Amino acid sequence: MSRELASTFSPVDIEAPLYEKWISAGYFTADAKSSKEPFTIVLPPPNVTGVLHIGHALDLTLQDCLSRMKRMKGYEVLWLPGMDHAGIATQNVVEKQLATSGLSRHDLGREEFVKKAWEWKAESGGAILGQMRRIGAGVDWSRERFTMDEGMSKAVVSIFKKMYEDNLIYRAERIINWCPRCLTALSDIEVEHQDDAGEFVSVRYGDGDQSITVATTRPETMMGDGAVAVHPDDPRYKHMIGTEVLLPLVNRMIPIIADELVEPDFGTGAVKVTAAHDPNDFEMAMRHNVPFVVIMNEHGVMDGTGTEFDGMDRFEARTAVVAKLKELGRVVSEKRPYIHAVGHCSRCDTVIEPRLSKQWFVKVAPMAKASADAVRNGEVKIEPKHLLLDTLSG
Amino acid sequence: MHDWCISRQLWWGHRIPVWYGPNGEVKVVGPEESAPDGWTQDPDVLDTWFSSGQWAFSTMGWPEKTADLAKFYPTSVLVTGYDILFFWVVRMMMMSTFAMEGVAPFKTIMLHGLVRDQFGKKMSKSRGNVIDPIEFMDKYGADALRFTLARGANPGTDQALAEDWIAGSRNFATKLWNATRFAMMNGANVAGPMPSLDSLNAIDRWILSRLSQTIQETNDLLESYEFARACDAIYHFAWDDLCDWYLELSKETFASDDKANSQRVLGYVLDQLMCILHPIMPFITEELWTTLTAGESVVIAQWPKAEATHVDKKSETLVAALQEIITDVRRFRNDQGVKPSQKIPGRFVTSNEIAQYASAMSFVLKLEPGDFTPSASLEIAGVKVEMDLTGSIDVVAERARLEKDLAAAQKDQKTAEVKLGNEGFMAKAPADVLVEIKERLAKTTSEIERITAAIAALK
Repeated sequence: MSRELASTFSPVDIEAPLYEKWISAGYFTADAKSSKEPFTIVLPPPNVTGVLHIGHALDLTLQDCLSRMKRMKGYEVLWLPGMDHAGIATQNVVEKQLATSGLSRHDLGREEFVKKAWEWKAESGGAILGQMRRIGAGVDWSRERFTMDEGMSKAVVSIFKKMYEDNLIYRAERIINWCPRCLTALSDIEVEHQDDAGEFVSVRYGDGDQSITVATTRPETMMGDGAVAVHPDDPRYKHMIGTEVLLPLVNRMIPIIADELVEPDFGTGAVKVTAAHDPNDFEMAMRHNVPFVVIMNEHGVMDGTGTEFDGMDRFEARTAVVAKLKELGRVVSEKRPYIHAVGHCSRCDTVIEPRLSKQWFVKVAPMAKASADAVRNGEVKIEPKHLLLDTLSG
Repeated sequence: MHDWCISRQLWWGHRIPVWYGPNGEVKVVGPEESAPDGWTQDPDVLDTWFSSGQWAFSTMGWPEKTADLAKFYPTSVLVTGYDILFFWVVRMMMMSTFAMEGVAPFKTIMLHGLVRDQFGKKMSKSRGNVIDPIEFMDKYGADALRFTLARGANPGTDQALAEDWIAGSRNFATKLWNATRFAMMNGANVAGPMPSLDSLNAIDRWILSRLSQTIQETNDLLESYEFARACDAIYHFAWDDLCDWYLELSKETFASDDKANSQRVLGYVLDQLMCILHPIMPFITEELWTTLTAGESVVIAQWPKAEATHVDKKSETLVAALQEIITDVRRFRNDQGVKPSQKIPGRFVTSNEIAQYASAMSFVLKLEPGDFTPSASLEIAGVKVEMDLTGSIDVVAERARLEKDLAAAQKDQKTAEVKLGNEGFMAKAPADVLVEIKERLAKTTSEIERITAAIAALK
């Protein structure tokens, strides 16, 4: 025997040198010209800001296990690694770094800021790649990619253009999740729902016979109401459908509309329709041609109501609006605390503000259909299968 | 599904390639094009999922027709947690089928669950139950962490993880290390061809049979993403079959002159074991395999083939009998208060083929054949085991001890029987209490049997 085993097993002594041996031998470098049958895995790209957590460790272990077995079985294995540029996460890291010298990204300007972000990536990004070596992930480092590298940037523009030309991309004014601190739209995954102690206030709109009481967790947005909605079969309100009622504080007449989605048992059975500040109200407003009244700016500050509340932060305004309504004798009941789910920004915990803004969208239905077909006809196998089909047809 | 909002009001990201003209014109500017003078670009960037949604094909050079795309697309399997199914997997499916002319990005999607703490709670900073993989790799090695994670991984379900289990995997690695070291010191090797099966003793044939089945099982389980069960199969083979039984039963052979066959068999078994374990524990298997075989690397070794000819039911039956005898005699010695290391006079009285392995068993059980008058005898699997404990224990004191234990067990049994016979008690007792009493009754009944047998054997 050419060598002997150390008398005690010490993983830290053997692991790192072995990984270097594998890399320098080129075992993990795939050959596109090979005649062997291919076996390919693309590594779900970790964030450039990320560090290895236990979920990654599991992911990497299982992928490494499969690719090593397949290599031993004689496949030409490609396990392609890389990182995601992690838009908001990276931007926040760089902003925090700037903040230590008292600067904001606006002090730098866009071009300089982006340059700083690239510098940050070069110096501090990608810690996770070293940790992938540590766990023994046999990826093909010669093919490492970054979602913002030159090639992928070209591909992004190409596909955007192709989708736009195929009418799969459009621009429209919609309600989106907005973070008034990060000043950006957020995807659903970037919103965390928490049970917050809010309030539930019933407010009387109109007077005398022509009055109706709505219940809301957001009294401050009432100045943006475009209608009051009730269920079409609700006997309490049936006679009022199609009439108008006075909206307090701004003294504007708004219609009472009927919509199947109003739940008669919730609150008073009458709800305010604030199309520009609530996603459900937005959908309802689209169905009934209710106007969009914007009453807040991008920072979540009341704006354009023409009342004394303009300039107040949304939470400050909530208290002030309720106080004023009480003074006017319009508060019918209030419940406080009222525990309900509220969306928060996953990066900075600020309460999400649904915001009407002009955004770009991808038309999902036609694309989802092609994907669902691939699962249904067995082209793509998945366990458990129902999970994906439910998502694609939901 | 709602339409997907892809614009973000950020600076870091892919800027939306749309330009606006002075009179409200809108134009998408492709990669090789440029916008007319005086036009301004949309200030927003794209959602990161827009670029990561292209990960399966753009990373291989799309939109060029590259050799990588031709060879490696579509990918074979996507391994990811079910938690990002909607956000990422669905977007990859949509963008890939769109860009790649309807060809989906993966042939199989393997969804694993989340890693939770040992109590099944989600790990979070606020709970303080987060397991840091780096910390545990420093402490126990990457292989131990990997083995623990793989051993908990079943498709689609969450798994629990505790530090103790990582420590347990580290013990497994140490066991493999020590066993391989022991094997090599005893001449285990891979030199030359394997001896013919009929020249091997039953213990060698048995370990080859078990190996063949373990290879088949591991292969099938890994191919169907049953990582947890594959790990169990390997673990039980390595720890129980190989270390606890094969090495023990072969100790006598390795101490004799007739050991060449067993040395070659043991070398082969370790070689193959390292190969099937390599995907899960790559580091230790590389170190052990290269030392044992002097090969370049187990990374490029051939995946083991389950040898159908190695499956040998006859030797399995025989070794099962040896295991039963050894287990029972060990328990008996222990019950009698004989220390495991203490050698005692003992012999096997049998005319069947187990007789051939009497000395191997004696070696394991520390029995010394010779001329003696037995003070105890056992009948196991058709074999009579005679032992003389008189020099090792005080038979009178031992019998007194056993009789005391017997009396205590009989008292427990009685108490349980009385309770279970009491209708009033039965009507009122909670279900879990009843279960407990019934379990106690079953336990004391088997205790009484065991002690009674031990007293009988002392005669």
